[in-house]
Amino acid sequence: MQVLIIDDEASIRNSMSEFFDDFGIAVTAVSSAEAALDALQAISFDVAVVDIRLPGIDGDALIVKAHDIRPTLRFIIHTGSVEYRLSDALRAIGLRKEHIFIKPVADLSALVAAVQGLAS
Amino acid sequence: MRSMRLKLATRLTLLNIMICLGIGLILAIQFISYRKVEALLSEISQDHMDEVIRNAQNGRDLASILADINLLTHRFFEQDNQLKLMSGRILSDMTLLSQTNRDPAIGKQIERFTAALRVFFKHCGQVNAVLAERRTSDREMHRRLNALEEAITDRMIRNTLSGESTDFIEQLSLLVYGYRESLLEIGKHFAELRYDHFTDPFANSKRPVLDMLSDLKIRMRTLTAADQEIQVLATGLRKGIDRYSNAMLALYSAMDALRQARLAMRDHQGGLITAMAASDTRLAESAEAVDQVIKTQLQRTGSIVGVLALTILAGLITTSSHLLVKHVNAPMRSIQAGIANFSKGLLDTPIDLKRQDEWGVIEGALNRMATDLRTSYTALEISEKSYRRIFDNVSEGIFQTETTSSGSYFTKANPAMARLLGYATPQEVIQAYADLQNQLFVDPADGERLVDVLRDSERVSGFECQLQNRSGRQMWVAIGARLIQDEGGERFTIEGTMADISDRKAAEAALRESEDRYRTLVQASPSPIIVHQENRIVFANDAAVRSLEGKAVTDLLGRETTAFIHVDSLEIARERINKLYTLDLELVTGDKIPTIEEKFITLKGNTIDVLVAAVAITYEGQRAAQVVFQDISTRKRSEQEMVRLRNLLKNITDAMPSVLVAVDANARVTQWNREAERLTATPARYALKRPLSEVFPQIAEQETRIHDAIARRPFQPQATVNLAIGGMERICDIAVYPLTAEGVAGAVIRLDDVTDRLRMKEMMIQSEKMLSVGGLAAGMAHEINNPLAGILQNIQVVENRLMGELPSNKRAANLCGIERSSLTCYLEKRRIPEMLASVSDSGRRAARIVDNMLSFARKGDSARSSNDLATLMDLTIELAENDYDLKKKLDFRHIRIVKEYEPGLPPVPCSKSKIQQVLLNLLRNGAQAMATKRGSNEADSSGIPPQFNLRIQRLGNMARIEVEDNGPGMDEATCKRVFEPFFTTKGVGVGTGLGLSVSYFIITENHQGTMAVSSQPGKGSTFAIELPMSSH
Repeated sequence: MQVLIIDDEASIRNSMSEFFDDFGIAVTAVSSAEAALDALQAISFDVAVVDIRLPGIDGDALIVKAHDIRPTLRFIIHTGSVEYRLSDALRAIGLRKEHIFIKPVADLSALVAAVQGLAS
Repeated sequence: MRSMRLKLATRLTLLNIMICLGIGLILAIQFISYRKVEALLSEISQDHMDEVIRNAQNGRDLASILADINLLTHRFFEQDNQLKLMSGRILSDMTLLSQTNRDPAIGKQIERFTAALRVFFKHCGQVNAVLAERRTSDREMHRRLNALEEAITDRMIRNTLSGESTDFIEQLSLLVYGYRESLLEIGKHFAELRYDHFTDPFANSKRPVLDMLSDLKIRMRTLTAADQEIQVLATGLRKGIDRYSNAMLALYSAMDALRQARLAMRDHQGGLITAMAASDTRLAESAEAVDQVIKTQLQRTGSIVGVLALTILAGLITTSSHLLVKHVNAPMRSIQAGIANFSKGLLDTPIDLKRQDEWGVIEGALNRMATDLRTSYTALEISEKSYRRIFDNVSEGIFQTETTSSGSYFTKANPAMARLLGYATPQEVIQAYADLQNQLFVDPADGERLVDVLRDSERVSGFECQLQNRSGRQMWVAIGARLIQDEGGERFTIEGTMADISDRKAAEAALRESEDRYRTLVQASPSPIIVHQENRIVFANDAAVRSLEGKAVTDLLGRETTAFIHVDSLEIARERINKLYTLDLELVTGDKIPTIEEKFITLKGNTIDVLVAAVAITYEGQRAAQVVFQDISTRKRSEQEMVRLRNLLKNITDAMPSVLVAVDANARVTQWNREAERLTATPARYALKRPLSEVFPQIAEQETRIHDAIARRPFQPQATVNLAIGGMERICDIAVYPLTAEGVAGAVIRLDDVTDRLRMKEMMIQSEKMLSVGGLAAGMAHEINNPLAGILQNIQVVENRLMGELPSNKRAANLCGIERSSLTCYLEKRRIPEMLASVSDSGRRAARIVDNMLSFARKGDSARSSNDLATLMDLTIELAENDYDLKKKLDFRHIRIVKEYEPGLPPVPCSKSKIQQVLLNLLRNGAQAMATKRGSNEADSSGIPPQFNLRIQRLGNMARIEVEDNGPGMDEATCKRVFEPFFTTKGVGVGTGLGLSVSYFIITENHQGTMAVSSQPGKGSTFAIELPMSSH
């Protein structure tokens, strides 16, 4: 299983990579949407964990683009914004409320479980 | 002479009586003879007419009876009932006839006829009896024939059954058939027989029915050849025929008898009719005899009357010629001679006729007349003397003047006249004047005027003028005189009396002066004054005319006083007027008629209010009432306007939401509005006129400002003060305004209770504060959540890698040559896990705070669903029990929970999680509060265990949830602030102070409900939530 993590906050990005790694999940972590799109060209990821507020292209736009590149890619939204609402475009891709995790996630195991659920 | 003693009238009367007697005699004779004739005539008419009528009536009755008899004769056959009925009626008619009849001859005939009738009816009855016998026989025959037939039939059947010959029997039956036919024939024949058959002796000689019967009997002999049984029946039949024949014979003899009886009856009937005819003939004869008597009577009467009339006429002529000669012509001549003597003046020679009749009376009257004439001449002389005495001695002057073309002078004057004019004797007066007009009258025009008046009206009395006497003294005199115009026109005479009235004139002048003074005074009075007599206005001054809106005084004079009085005042006015006219003059002055207010109506119809004073006075010698009044309409209007203004002012001040108190220069209350009453609980009637410091001591400290205002200093600006009113701290704005209007010194104090407004303001500030916290939180959340996520995630990775059983951990340890157990031991020794847990815990708490703060920003974002509040409450209790926190020494399980849920409450639309959050918050706060009271949630020293009373009930269209604890409670100030964000009574670190404010926000903003708290310090607090039962 290949998971792509996109987060501009290093401590989050790193801790999540480490946590996923501890659970034997292969993780590629990038700090921007642009980098993520590059990575997507190269690797076929199963799941992407996307932060919304990103420098440059934001998370919403990234998901749309990523879906264009890899239609089988599934997404988890991991955001600090409590007022986040799914746009119609994302709903069309198949995102639902349960795919949204608000930071801070009290127990990362829940996030891992969600990723595993999506990948299988 | 004896004949002279009777009066003439008596003689004439006697003659009249004789004539009357003669005529009366003639009339009497005529009357008697006429009465006789009349009596005879009436006798004829009465008796004879009665009898004629009766005879006619009897004839008619008899004819009707005869008709009835005739009818009965042809109808009575076999009709016994009708016979009895009709015969009875005919007999009773006969009885009636005999009763009405008077003629004995006829009566005898009626009796005979009646007897014959009775016999006839009896025979009729006998005929009917025989007829009945015949019918019985006929029926019996038929019956016997029936029996015979039956016997024959019986026999025939028997013979046939036994095989015997039936020929004979058949013949028999044919015979019987023939018999029946004959019998029916006989019956038919009988029915065809008529009455005449029986009564006509010639027709009677043939008797067909009898012949047919005997024939039938012979034919029946054939039956004897039959057997025993039939023979018996045949014998019966023959006997029947015999009976029938006998009946027929009896009928013939009965009918014969009847015929005899009828003939006898006819004879008597003829006798009766003859008797009646004889009676009529007798009547006619008797009428003729009476006629003869009348003629004789009339002739006799006529001759008696003629003789009598001739006798009376002769007597009358003799007597009347005697009377005329002796008693009329002779005395007339004597009287004529006497009257001639009187006219010559020979009054002493009386007439003497020597008669006692009417002529005697005439003689007496003429003689008396002569005597009276003599006496009157003497009386006239005496009278003349007495009049002269009066003339001389009377106190008034009596005069006679004569005016001719040459002058005017007195012709007669009495001594009083002389004295009046200053002369000693009348003679001097007559001589003294030659031109009266200029000599006597002070103003000669008066003399001319007197003559003019007299010429016009011939008489004058009370003519007042001024004369001068001999010595030149002027005096007032009243003259009464008449003018006698002599023929020719130049001369005339005036005669009359005059009296000195100087004294009276002086008195009148004085009176007039006094009245003029009164009039001037009243006329000039500015007050309206009117005088009325007998309710009519006799005087009114100018002011009264103006006041009653007249043009001139004539508009009022003569009018009724009451016409000017308004109906409202009419009753009392009438009473007063009545009093003025009826009471004693002394009594009605002064207080008896008090001055009062009345309403008048002016001539133009306007109503005016007046103040009326009235007194009784004497006006021109008569009782009158003087009314002085004053138009107070303007004053009244001002008063009303003032009342209106006062009310308006009161309404305005009462309508103000502020306390308005006006004070005068001495700081005494002059105005106290409703709001002031409400705030101070002091009614206006108590507060008015009292010192402000007494009725409103709370603003005593403002006194300086108030005094400054009273001293006309400029407006004292508004200040906010705290006042203790009704045991409560109120915040009030106070402003003092000086009263600057002329004549009013003082100030107005305006006090506005702004406590509620300030509280409202605070609430709004708080609300805004919460909203700004929400906005801030929303902005901050992202920024804080990211680092928090970094902290928490990293801690989790660290914990995992230090203490987790991960394969990579083992690999790393092996690489580093570290035993896992030693590392664990080391970490434990250094209490690393504990510290890591602490970091993690702090991070989570920070995240929770951020989340709670975000609640202010989230409005109705959570989905509503219908929730059963009881279930929700129970779930929350469970949650609270699991929220066991050692550090806070909270053991929820030790708290007693009393549930009072109203059953059947419908589900309430709400956000389940939010309401649960609120309830959990309340339970947690309550538990904490009870714990602080007792040190723990064990029973305290008083032995009362911690207890929650949880109530859910319905209040109208709201669902109410109450959470009551028995903790320490809160004071009022705390209660008010308990919903403010970050307000907390808990120690530092126990809570954030956001819980209740978030709850408040959830209930009021998200659910449109209400949330309130009430508390009694030392006893506990109750939080009440009300949620609408239906979502909007």
